[in-house]
Amino acid sequence: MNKAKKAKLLSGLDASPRQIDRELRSFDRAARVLSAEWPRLIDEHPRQWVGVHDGKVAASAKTLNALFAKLKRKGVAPSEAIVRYISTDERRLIL
Amino acid sequence: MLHGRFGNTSGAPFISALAVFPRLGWRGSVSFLIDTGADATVLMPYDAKRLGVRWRDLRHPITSEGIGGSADGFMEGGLLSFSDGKFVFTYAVDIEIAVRTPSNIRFPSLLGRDILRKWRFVMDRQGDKVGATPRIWDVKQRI
Repeated sequence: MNKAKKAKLLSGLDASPRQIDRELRSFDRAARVLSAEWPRLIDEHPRQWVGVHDGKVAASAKTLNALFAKLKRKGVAPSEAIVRYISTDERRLIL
Repeated sequence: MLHGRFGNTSGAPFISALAVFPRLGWRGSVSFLIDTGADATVLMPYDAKRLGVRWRDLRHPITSEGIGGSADGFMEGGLLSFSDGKFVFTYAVDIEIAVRTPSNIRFPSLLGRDILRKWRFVMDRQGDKVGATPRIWDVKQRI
């Protein structure tokens, strides 16, 4: 990437360091809930998409579109939630 | 040090970043799978959708190769910010946005070597530690 393009992109940095840190901490908390409560999520939301926000499951649905609609109805922006599919199968992922 | 975590069932290393795509007006946190085999960072379809993708707005088509064959996507300039609690490190990079297929909708987004080559990275499964120390950055800001 050339310097001019990089400088233009960096001018789009739209938040203070404190705000970025706060957002990432909140998101990490949700991610850790997802990890810690995975067995419970498999029991309660098998083969569903879940959205975790502010340390708890904010919504679940069978499709991604339905999940986003539910999150929005609850006032949670999908971009602020961590979203995962709760698979009951063990998948071998080689990317 | 930037702290990541291991995925629940996979044990794969993940780290969170705030992703901003200034031209598109997208913004949101993303949990990236740390992938030393990926040449570049890739935003997978469910994260792109979560951030508000509108495919018609994307301009630069690209085809990349992987173990599953070729995959279509678009390149878009973006910013990735990481926090260690004291500083925020930001990188301006071209990010691949993968086109949705029946097989990739559940794939996690990938943090590739375009970022990883600028870090010292530690993965210690037995010690439950995923960490990275940035060596190079575009912007470093004190919190």
